[in-house]
Amino acid sequence: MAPMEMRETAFMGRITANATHEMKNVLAIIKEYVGLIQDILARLDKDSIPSSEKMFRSLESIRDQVQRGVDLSEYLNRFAHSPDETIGTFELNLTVSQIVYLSRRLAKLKEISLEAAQQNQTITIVSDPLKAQMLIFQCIDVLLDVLESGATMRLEALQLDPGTAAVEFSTDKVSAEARQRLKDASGAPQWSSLKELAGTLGGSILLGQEDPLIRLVLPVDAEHKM
Amino acid sequence: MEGLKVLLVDDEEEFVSTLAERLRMRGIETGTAGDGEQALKSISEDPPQLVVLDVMMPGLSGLEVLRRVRSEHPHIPVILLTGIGGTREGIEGMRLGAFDYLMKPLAIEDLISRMRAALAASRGGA
Repeated sequence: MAPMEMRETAFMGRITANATHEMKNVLAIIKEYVGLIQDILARLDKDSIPSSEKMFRSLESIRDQVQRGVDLSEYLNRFAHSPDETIGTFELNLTVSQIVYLSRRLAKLKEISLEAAQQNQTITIVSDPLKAQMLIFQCIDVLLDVLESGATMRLEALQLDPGTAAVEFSTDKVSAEARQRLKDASGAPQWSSLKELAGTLGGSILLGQEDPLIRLVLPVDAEHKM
Repeated sequence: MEGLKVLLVDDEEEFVSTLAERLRMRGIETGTAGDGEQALKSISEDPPQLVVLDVMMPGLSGLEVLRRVRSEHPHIPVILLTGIGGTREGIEGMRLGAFDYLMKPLAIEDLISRMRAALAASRGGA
């Protein structure tokens, strides 16, 4: 990245990270107020509270939404810190979960479900965290344009061997039309730039018409391959 | 937890006052301070049995307040409150002598359970 671009990215990251701290403070205050109302209601006779069931349910919903906001703030904060280092150490499952979480809204607009497979194995990667996330996101974006509504896209991080890891993108539903769109996508300029981006991380990327539809292979330690 | 006296330190006034009220409803005598200087003054004048301290505050940082509390009142356990990505600060705080750390927003039950554990440990160590 050019020095000017790096400064711009760092600027956006810093402002966003700072705002997520503030968002979390706001959520913490809302949570305490909800807790206080629940504490007060718990001391009253339930029958004396008008529409008590509705009120308790509403308070629980506010708590759930606060938690949703907290999760979003945490993922966004981690994402905003991505440009802090051009070479950093990150855990691939966590990174995949993060990008999946932050891309869900985009997928929802296309009526596609986005899932990250749960993995117990830790996959530690040394690479450019921002570029790696951009690559995963752009693969999601390619498939969002290809898959039909109602499909589920599933991302899974795998350790292939001690020196290599992969992210596989699969789906439960591929029609003949979608296969054709996949074929067309592999010849599109967007795919060439994705291959180029993977190359800058010392990795490679394959687009197929059967699962996994996309296989992104990354070196575990890209520091000496970039 | 009846009879327990704690000091909550956080610059978010609404957060600290609401949490204090909820702790008081549970029989915990709770004082509040909005910054590090105020907290240190309050601890010297009327020492609590436990301090719950936010790490990120304007002026004296939570970690600096922690250092001073550990040096001047080593018998008072401190639980830290951290924000997003606060694991590093939490670990640093524990290295400096904090009993534990919790991330905001917190669950009051978790806070009370850590308070109990902190007091039990400080009594055991006394």
